[in-house]
Amino acid sequence: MRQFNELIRQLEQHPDRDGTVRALTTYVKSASDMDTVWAIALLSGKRPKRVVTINQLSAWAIEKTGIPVWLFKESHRQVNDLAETIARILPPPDSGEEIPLAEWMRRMISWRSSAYEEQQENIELAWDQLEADERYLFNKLVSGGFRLRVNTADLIQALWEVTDVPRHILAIRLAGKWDPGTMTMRWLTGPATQEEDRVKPWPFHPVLALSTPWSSLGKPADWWMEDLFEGIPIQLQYQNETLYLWTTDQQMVTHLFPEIEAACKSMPEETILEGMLLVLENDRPGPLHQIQSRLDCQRVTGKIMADKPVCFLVQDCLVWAGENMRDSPFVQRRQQVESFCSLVDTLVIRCAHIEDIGPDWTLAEEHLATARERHAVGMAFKHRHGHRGGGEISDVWWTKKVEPLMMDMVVLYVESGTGRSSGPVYELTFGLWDAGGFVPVTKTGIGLTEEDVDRIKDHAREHTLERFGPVRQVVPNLVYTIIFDGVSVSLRHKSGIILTAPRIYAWKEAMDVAELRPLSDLKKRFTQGF
Amino acid sequence: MINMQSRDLLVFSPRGIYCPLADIYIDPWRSVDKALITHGHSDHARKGHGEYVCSPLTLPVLRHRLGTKIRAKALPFGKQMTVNGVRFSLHPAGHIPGSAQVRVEYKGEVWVVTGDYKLHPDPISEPFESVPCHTMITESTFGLPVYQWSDPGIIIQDIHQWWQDCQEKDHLAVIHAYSLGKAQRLIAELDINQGPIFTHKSIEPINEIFRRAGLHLPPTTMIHEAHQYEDLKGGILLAPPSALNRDGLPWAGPISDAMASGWMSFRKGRFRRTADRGFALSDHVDWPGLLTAIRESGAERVLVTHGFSTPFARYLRGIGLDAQAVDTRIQGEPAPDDTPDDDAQITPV
Repeated sequence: MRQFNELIRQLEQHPDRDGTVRALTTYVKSASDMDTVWAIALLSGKRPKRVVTINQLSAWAIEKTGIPVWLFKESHRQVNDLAETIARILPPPDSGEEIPLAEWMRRMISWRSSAYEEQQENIELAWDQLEADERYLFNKLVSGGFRLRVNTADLIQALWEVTDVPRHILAIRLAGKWDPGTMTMRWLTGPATQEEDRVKPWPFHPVLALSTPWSSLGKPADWWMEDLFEGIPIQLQYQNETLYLWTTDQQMVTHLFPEIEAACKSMPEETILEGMLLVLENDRPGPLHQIQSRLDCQRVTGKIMADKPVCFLVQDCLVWAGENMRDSPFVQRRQQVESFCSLVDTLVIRCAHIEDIGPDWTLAEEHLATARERHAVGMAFKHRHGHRGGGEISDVWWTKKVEPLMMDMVVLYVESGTGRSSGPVYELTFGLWDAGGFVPVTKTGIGLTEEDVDRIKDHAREHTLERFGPVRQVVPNLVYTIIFDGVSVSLRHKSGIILTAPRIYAWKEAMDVAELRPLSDLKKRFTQGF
Repeated sequence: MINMQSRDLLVFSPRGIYCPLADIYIDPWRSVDKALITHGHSDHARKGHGEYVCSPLTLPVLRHRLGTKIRAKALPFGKQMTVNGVRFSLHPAGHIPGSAQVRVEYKGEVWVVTGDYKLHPDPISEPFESVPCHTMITESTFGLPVYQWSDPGIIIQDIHQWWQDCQEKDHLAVIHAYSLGKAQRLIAELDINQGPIFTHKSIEPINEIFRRAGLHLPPTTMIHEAHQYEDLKGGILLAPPSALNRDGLPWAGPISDAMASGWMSFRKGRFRRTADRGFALSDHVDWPGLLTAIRESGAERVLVTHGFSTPFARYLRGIGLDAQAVDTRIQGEPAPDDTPDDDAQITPV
């Protein structure tokens, strides 16, 4: 349990991606195979069923220590977590013998069917064998409350670094149904089977932002244009009568989108499509954070599918029924996409809509100017004869983003950044007038110049109203122009809205807060329907 | 103010703990004529008293913190000072070097004011001495059963491991510790074979005071404006909690920081983002220590001051002691976010 405890300690510090992967590789290298399997299971959300409730554990801890119930409650109020209160309130362990994680898990599973008295006896014995921090983990595990998870991509990265097994193979194996009690590292990291070998994502089509004038693309008539929506690029593969959904970082996310799985039942074997996965709001493409929250789901329920319906927008075809299309020009691949989509009888899979541009770029410019009305964040341009994997201008899908939105807002809270070399120096919370006061609207530190940092430092020093840990509430009279890509509704936020990709544009030196437009104005100007 | 018995040897007055018979205060928080000071932390040793009496090691600390002009005299541990028939003596409290408990005796009745204390030994503080008494006035900074310190030796090992991790990552290791006491305890425990020890300007003068008094501290270097980030490479920097996190860090390179405090016992404390890492190393007594100290003193009556005084007194009543919680203006070990440290300023490197 000691190594696992150390791993958790490192992960609890919210390291960046490198730090997470480093902590995981260190663990995988040093822990036994059985422990590693359990650690992977726990960190990817495979929680064992609880043996006893946390309240039962509390009662036993009170009984064992003999402290009064009111004092236990008083302690809990201070610690804020029952598993930790119990872990800390018990006397130090009397035996230093190290029992590995896998053994604890085996024991816990066996206790599930034990009689009540036996459970109490075993758990009290366990408490006597564990240090306080390990006891905390034990309490969480035995009461089914262990919730720490790491990104599957990070787990796969770490396993790949240690074992050299290709990432997509690890992804397939980890995504399947497996039981940590019986799965082995030998199987997880063994050579790929024939079936597994046929399943793998291809490199995604390159997409680049067009920073040069339209004319650099050549003849407009050779290009198609397509609305650009906020979503995640996905390769959809049907192989061995199974659907695989791959993200650009080789994560397999099939299990998160059962509706896509259901819609692909009649897909021909050995087919790979590429496209964009979107969440729909009122049958319109929704904002990026919606699809993100679908990706963050642990288990997809009917309610989630109804609240955040998704749609796979097919853009390209790499392989069709075993026939390789990757070397064909886009116009042929596009035909295959269209003929497939015309046969699919579902709204979950749709054909990306492309249009001719015509003899000059006027139409493209007009489309870009009105993109926001179609809930698009920009336009993509695709050459009819572009090839996948080629090096020509025509082999790239070029994008142009719509102009960002702008709004002047006042600084309400200043939070010092971590002071590390990466990341903003300050996180600022910006607000707008609402019902006679200021309501927080968005938080960002992106775009601050050195002068801004000095200005904010002085402002925070002289105009702090109150401190909440690292956060200072400041006198609201420092105004900045904020730019952002979109506005969407959120019931979880006090303002009722979220801004997409907010960043700091410029300091409004002469602006008086009284001149700021109210929150309702922002809602009116940039959104519809509320 | 609670109802004290009229013949009490010590009472809680608006100025602090007071002995009416001798007209002497102990750690008073408002100006008084004569004050006995348990130790030099700012919530115990305040400005403006007519005369200070303290342990020989606390004396130079008071002069450093309150000014050389204060009228102060030292009372060595175990020596008695008699005023109007009341006998006062100081006894080691184990909290920081020179920290004292105050024993007060009149006609055979003995009271002890613990000040801040701890039972776990450290390399530089005189070990806590159990003083038999009838009435004990004890602190309760960590007076809940969830506060049980691990072996300090293990925590010191963890700190060295963390320092090594910092060295491997090429990060400057910065450890936040109070200028008086905690910083010197850490310095005394650090292994200088691992790397050089740097100190913030509020810490070094105290190091010097302790060195002059004969305490062994390994060599340290005070950082100043001329120091470059590269000069500190591989080293560990000790700075008071308020010195670094107050504003964006003006460092020219990456740092990792840690906080050594009893408040780092729980996840809640560790995750307040005050530092990357928390070490639960405290200079205060933990729950089992409090119970041991009270039991060994033989006290029948216990008055509980700063900390979790109400629940702790209630618990003591539950186990048959005459115990009461008393309000004082003493803070004990401040939580990292509300450090009142007044002498620390940012020193850019």
